[in-house]
Amino acid sequence: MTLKVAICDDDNTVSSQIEQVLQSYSKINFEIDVYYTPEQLTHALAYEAYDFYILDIVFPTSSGLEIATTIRTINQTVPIIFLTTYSAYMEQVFKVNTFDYLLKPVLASDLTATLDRLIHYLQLSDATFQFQFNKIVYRIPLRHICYFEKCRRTVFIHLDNGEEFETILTTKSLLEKLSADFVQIHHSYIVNVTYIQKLSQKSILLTSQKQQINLPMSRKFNPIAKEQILIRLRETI
Amino acid sequence: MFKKTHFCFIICIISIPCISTFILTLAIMSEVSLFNYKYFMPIFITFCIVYMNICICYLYFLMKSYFKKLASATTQNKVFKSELYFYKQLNQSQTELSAIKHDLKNQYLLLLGLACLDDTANIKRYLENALDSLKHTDNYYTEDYLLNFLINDKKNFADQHHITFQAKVFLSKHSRLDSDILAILLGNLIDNAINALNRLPADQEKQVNILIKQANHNLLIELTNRFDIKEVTARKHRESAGIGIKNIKKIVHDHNGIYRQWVTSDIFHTSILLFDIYASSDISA
Repeated sequence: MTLKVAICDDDNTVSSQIEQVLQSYSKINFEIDVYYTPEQLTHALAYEAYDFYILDIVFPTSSGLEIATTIRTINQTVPIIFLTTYSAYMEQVFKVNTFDYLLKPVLASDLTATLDRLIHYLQLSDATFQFQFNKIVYRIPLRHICYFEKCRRTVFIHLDNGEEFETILTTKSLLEKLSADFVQIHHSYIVNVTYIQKLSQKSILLTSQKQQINLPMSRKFNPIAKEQILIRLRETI
Repeated sequence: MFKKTHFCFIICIISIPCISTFILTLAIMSEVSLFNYKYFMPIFITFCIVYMNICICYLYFLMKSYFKKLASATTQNKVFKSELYFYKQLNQSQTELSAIKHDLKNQYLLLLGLACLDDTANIKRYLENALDSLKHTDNYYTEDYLLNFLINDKKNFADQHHITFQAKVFLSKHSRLDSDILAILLGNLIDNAINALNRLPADQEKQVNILIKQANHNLLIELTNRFDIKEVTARKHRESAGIGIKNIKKIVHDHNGIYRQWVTSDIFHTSILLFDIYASSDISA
């Protein structure tokens, strides 16, 4: 798999250094486009879409925040990583939902750690959930599954787009088929932690593209489920 | 209200030994056949025992309420102490600022005098010295001035104890969580880490790493520090007994977050995840 990335920095040394780190990153390949002015990138956005962006904040005539605002009008969720110094770190970066920021001079170890989290965040895993229903075999990417609902032997599969499927499986065999993103919070519910929006003492609020649902969290599963959620989510933050 | 509770408490405390002694006396007297009420005695004794149990239950709930108030007062006390410390530091900063303003005026007069004499060499040297002294200013971590002050204060404290303090902070000042709550959380975490590092032998490397990061609408706080591995057994009870940890856990619990601490070889890790701390409207406000 190849990820498309746009780097925008007026300092040639910095952009070259980032390019080198990206090229030496072993887990995934990158298709890199470097822009030296915000105007170049803004112009390119009209016909190019990227999987993530690495932007400098301070430019002589404009600001990386302006490009980020333009990017957000096109895509609300695409990760943006800012290059900054503490003195240039501004409150406005939070308005554009920044994925991370890297301090200049960029260290290879910092950028690699950010890329590791980015891959988790983008859920690039091709892992699928395969099941059979009415003699038809379905194969659904795990990242699109919001939660599983168990009702006796029947498993209802709720997708992020609101679609629903069902199959017959035991809880044990269902859990064996799932990745670490899935956590059992109740005898009847197994959720994808990436869709968790809010936690309360007895329930979990899941939010996807089409739905928002509050699921109960039982006392039995509460401590271990919370631990698993923390372990999983800290890998993407 | 307090007087009524106090009165009930005294009645309960006094009545239990009095009634139990009275029942015992009655039982002994009935044995020696001074009284011969066949049905009265069992009913009376049952009534007294039920009454005593009610008193015990009342005392139990009263004690529970007192302990709850005590825990709350202890936490509140900690908050007030932190606030008091903050205001003292603020006062000190203001005093220093006044002194700097006063010095600045004299410095400008001196520079003016040197400029009038066209003594550029001395002006240059003077300005270079002034710039050098400015290098030792506080680091910038976040626009939240209280947290920025707290982290810088802890960093200075760590520096005094020859502890390397590394902090990565990515935090908006607009949060649903009060700054003082976040300050208690971070203050206690960092204090615990510094104390653990101070207990290490002097020749060992001492470093504390802190990550405070807002992602989407959640907040992750991570802290790692080395510790003396012997403390796993020697100070086992302190894992949960320290008021700092109790405060941290209580705050995290009250805000529906997740707290986890674990050990890998001689590294102590603490992770806190708080959900939905930042709403879009908060961030864009």
